[in-house]
Amino acid sequence: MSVTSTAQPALRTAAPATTPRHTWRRLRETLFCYLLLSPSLIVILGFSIVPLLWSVYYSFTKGGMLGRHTFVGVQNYVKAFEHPIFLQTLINTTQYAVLTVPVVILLALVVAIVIFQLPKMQGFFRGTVYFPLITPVVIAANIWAYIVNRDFGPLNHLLSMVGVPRIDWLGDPVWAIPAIVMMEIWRGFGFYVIILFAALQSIPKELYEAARIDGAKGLRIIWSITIPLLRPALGFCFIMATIFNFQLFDAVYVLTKGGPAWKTATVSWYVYQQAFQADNVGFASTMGVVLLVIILTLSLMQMRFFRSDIEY
Amino acid sequence: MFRSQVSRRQFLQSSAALMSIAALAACAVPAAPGASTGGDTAPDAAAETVLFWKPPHSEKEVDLWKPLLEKFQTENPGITVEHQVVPWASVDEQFTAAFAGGSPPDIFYLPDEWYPKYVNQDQIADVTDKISGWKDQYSEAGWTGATYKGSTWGAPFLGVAQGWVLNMTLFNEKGVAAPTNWEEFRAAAQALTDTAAGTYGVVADAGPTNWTTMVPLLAAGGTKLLSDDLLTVTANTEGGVAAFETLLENIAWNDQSSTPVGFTADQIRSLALDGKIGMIWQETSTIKAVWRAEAPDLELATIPMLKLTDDGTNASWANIGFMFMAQQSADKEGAFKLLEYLSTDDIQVEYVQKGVDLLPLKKDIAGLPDIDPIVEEMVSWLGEGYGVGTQISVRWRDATTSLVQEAQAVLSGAKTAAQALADVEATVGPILDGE
Repeated sequence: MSVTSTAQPALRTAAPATTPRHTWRRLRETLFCYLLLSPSLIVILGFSIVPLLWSVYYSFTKGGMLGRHTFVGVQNYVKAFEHPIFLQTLINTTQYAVLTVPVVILLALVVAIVIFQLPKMQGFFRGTVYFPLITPVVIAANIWAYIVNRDFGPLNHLLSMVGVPRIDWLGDPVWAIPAIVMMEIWRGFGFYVIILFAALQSIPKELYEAARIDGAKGLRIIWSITIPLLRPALGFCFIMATIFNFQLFDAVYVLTKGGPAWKTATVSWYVYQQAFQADNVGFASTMGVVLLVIILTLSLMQMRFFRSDIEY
Repeated sequence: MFRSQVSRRQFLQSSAALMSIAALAACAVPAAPGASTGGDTAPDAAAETVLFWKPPHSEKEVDLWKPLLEKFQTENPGITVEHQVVPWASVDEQFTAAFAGGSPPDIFYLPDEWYPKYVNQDQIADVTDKISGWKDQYSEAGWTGATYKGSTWGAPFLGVAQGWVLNMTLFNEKGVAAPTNWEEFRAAAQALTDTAAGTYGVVADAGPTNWTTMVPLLAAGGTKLLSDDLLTVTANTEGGVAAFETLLENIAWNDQSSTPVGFTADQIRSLALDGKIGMIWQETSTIKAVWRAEAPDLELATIPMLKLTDDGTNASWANIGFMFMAQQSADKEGAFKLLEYLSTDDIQVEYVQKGVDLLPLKKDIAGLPDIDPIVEEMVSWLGEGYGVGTQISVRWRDATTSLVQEAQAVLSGAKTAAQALADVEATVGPILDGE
């Protein structure tokens, strides 16, 4: 029988230990915890923290991916805010987020509530809505390119049935962003459905029963009970959606390469283009840092807005 | 009992520690391949492995190189060549990662638009002293292309030419003759188009690599993208605007139905090989490998980018690629031996000519007797001075990215040719520094 294991609860409730033996034991336990965490910490440190710090450093330098870097102070930041293409990518990225985030969350909320109401086959529908997310982006993008093709795409065919002229979805600067937004909504909304569905399941049934006894019905229940109690989950969804959309890269890379005329280029795509193709790592890092600050600021604002005192 | 001496807590601690150590060990740098791990077998002191990377010019790249590299290994016992085909789409990432990781290929192929970046990163060996004696064996254009910042960086390896491939089967069906000027070109594009039948007159898209169409187009208008000193954008001239206006604005945008819009590259390829495209800009290497193989019944002809202004010229895109040696391998004997071997007449004939239907850059290589007439025609333009190509500069790819983005704006009606070229000047001009 192990003495140590049975003694542990008693130790935790005992008065703070001050003897050298207890101090050593606490130190040993702390070290043990860090030892367990070390593989994850090393990965996070090596692949997130260190590159982030290097990026911040590079943002004050001029140079390529390899070789010498020259310190240029805030010159890159000044250049960034005067740079017509970077400013265009900032506008585009904001457009993607503004068009995608509210729509994708609203759609996910509606679908989650509908699935939640289903008496049967909830699992099937949850799996179905998640399916686009597990489809590789290259395949999804190529399917999308076919759907929105000007000459034989089914979308234009459907629109032509109600008299809408053919649209060059990915080639027309006006329609290129909406075309990619539609794909991002289709690909992404399953993720939020799953999160909101899980949150819906955790709302106590008694609250709904009490509301019905009080005479509330349908939309009134959703508005007064479901939405307020989903606030933390909705906040999480908004924050994640904002982050994902401000980092949008893959769909642009596959579908348009930023064109036509930079109209679909996002900050992330342009960072990639400058870092890997133009070998302008200093400037690419500057744009990356600006994007980081924007995402961080928006996330903090959203966290504050969606902070909820409601506990259930 | 032994079991009673190890508590559950101690067991968990030990297990966790072992797992952590194992995880950390897994992150450790692996031993170099071939390194001896025991005392039984000592490595052969004379053995040398040479890494050779090349993006493909053929779908059968591995098969083409296998006998050639085996021959090299037979002639050079002790040297093993590890050949890797690097996909074009990931050249930037793979080369950068290899250089940054300190394990670059010893010998590698890159075209003229890519290599200045790696020269500036001090990753390519300056081979001026080693190969300056080879200069007389090569065409002047090839040797000049290998020269950047006053040094020679690689051995010229192959060239490509491009031109409009005309689907004469469709031309004949519609009773249209091959165009000899831009008026005829536009008329042909319109006459060949029948959207109900799914035929399109011309492909004038501006995909991300289609500066290979735009630069000859500028040449037809009598200008080029950058000045000779690489300090200014020179595309925005009257002739440049006229060229963009003619193909992109008037033919592609104003006659939208002449052009398949919104198609992916694969879809356009399928349309072309199905005989649904009248005119498409193509590289010599596609003629035998793609057109003759996949659309053998189509009758083909070719024309260059047609001269548009008095200052302009008929133009063909001429691209050159080189074999380079990594700076890290500058003193590696096997690497230079492979570079020498790749520069022999045999390789120029067996790989460049017979293997991938491209242009050898050595002067004394005679044309193949069974050269495809379309390829022969395109190659002949280079002799007539129609070839325009990369201006060797580390800023070239930034400049061409802007050029195709703005070309897309014209193709989609978002900008006029004049506005687009003015914007190329405005966005590219400030980054030019003569390098």
